[in-house]
Amino acid sequence: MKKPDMTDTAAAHSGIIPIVPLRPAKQVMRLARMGSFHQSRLSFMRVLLRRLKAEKWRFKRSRWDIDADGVGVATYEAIGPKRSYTLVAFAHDLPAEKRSDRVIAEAWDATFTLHDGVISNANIERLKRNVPLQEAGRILDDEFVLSRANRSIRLFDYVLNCLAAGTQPDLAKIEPVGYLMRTTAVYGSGKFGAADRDTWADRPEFSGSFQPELLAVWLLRSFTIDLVEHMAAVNSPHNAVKLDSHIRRRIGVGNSTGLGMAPFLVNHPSLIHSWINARETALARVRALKKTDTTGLSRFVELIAKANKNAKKWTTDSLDQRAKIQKLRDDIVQLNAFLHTLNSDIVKPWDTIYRWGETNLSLEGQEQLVSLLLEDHGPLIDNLATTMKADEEAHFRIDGSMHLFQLHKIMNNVYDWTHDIDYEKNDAQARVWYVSEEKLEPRLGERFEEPIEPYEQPLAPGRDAVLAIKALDQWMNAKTNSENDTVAMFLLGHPEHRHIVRRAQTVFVLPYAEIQDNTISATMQPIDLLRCKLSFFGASKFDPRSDRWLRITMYQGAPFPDELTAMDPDALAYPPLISNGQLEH
Amino acid sequence: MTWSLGEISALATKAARGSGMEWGLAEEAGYAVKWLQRRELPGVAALCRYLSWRESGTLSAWPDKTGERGHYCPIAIGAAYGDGAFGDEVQLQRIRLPLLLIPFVALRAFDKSITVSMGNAVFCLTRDGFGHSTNSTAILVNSSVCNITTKHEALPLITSINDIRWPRVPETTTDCIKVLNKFAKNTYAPATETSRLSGAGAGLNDGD
Repeated sequence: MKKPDMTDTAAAHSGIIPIVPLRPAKQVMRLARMGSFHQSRLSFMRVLLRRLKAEKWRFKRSRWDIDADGVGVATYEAIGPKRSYTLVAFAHDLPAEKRSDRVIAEAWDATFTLHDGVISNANIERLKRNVPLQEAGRILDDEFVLSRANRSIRLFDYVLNCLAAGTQPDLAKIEPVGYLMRTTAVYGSGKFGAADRDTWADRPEFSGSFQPELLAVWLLRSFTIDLVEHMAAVNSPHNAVKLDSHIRRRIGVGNSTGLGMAPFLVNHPSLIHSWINARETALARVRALKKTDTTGLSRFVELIAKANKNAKKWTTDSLDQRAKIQKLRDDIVQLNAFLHTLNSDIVKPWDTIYRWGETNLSLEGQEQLVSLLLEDHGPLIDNLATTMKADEEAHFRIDGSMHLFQLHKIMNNVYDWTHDIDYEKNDAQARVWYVSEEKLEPRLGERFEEPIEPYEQPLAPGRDAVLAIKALDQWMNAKTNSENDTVAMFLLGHPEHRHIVRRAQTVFVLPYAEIQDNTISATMQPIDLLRCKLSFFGASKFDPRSDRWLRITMYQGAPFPDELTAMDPDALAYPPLISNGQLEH
Repeated sequence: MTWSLGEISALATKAARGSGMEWGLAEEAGYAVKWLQRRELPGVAALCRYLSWRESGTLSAWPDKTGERGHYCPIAIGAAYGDGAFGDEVQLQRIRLPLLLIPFVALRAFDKSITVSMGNAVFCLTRDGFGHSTNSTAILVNSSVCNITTKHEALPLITSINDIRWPRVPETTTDCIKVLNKFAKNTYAPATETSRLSGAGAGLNDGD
């Protein structure tokens, strides 16, 4: 088993661009930094829209059977070069007291599924009996996604009343919320009967990660607009107007995400490696560029101004996040000032800017800078999007022939960050990840206050590695054993270490596969895990509601299906400026 | 009602864990059931039978204590075979639900074909193919001696995995899935009012 070289091997072999080493896992894979990640052009929503545009996909609302109360079914078709998909949306009449974002909810304002192909009436009838039930219903391998959403109390009725009165809603009210409806779960990959990922993983349109799920979310964004416009027209047939396209574009889809998503990053090590590795490789490619020109630098300055506007529009009630946003705003001002000291003819300009950022910016600012550095270099980095996936089964098999001294060395190497943690202390193992019987969702409990330890999920790799290393020491020091004994022999006697040994062998070859922090400490913030994952989705406006759930906005600013031909979705990833290149105050 | 392989693999892992297996072995149970069901072999039924049998006995440690008349766990022994703890050719006595052993033998059939005889059933495994005798009762035998060899005698017809479309786990497994769900339930912590609020971190007012 050979440890990988931490360079961009594709670039090295191409000989086109010089090499800058990738940032090491010990720098990147820390929760505080991962909890500061921002969306980038490698984020999955943006990858999806680029592909849909490049391949000239067509879209149509093929059915609209929604009554005056806003109840019924609508379908939206996405028609690609080879295949079509249909979003089936069921709109419900939900009493206000039943509206809850919690996963334990049993009713929603709208429920959705993404169907493979053009849908038949018979399939709509089948789905009508199941999709509104969500987890309590069943879908088939003709369906790829199951989801639901609730109306925003802050915005839906406000926009509805404005449109019914024949006026446009105030952008200042739209902007801080950013959505009419908020999804509370988007399930895919075989969940609740949906098609196994393996059945569609080789379709080019779904290359990468979470593409069916994000196609569904993008289509359901159109449904939320259609629904509010429909209800406004029903309420006021003579006065109602449709949303102005500029205002409409500032409406995305909300998402409320809790602990259900948090263990994902720990449970899918090889996949997470592929995501982080692509992003780090992209950064290294940009940093390695020898030069830019006046235009390149001025475009970057303009981008900073857009990021500044974005940061100014980012609001949250979370005091911690507010402090981070304030630092980000200060960082952007500093960065802008620094850029104006640079000449366009400096050598390796982007590396200079990155290294300045590493010294002078907060983590929030540094990771925003990483995303911004990638922004203007599509031709150099966009092809990395196809690497953001993993054959997880390929890393499942344990190399049982490995000698124990090798395993010992590997584990001490990849888990060296545990040397600073004293797992004997209660604070270091204060938390327990478990699954609740009530809703079969991951939860976080207090080990020393609740009787939950027997239900602990294997989500504490650091602690498990320390225990396994201790057992390896004992094994190798026993007189009857040898350090040349194999992993297979050790695991036959110690099945309790099988999980972490598999993991260690994976992390050894995929260094970004492991979070190098204690995931069960008293101070661990689950929202850091959520934010990392959601940034790869392409979410923005992270709004923590506690240390373990948050709200986000998806596709805010992105083109709608009827705009995709004329607009560049990447150009809309940050809010447009009123005047070019100036920081707006 | 049919199930996806992903669902069933996750359920098998939870069920095995819920019956007392260490997590790392429970993951192997998930792998084994998915491998079998991918080939439309009764992996769900095999795990259901094995966990039920094990629950009715007095065994409490993994791998099973075999004693004089006891049995070996097909998951623990299978994983060990897959790891290379034994040579390619081995005779294993008293393997319970030996069908569950097959996915692990397949791990070592990447550069040679391997034949497994268990009772009246024969399996042959190659890098991407598999074949077996057609008697379904024999395949799902409760216990037998397993002879694993690299010799080829009267081989069954080999099917390439690349020629099989992704199957669903069929309706006929419903009762077995109920049993696996019962075992899986042991991994879930009973809810309390405190855990409902603090465990997920939301307050009472979460809409907006």
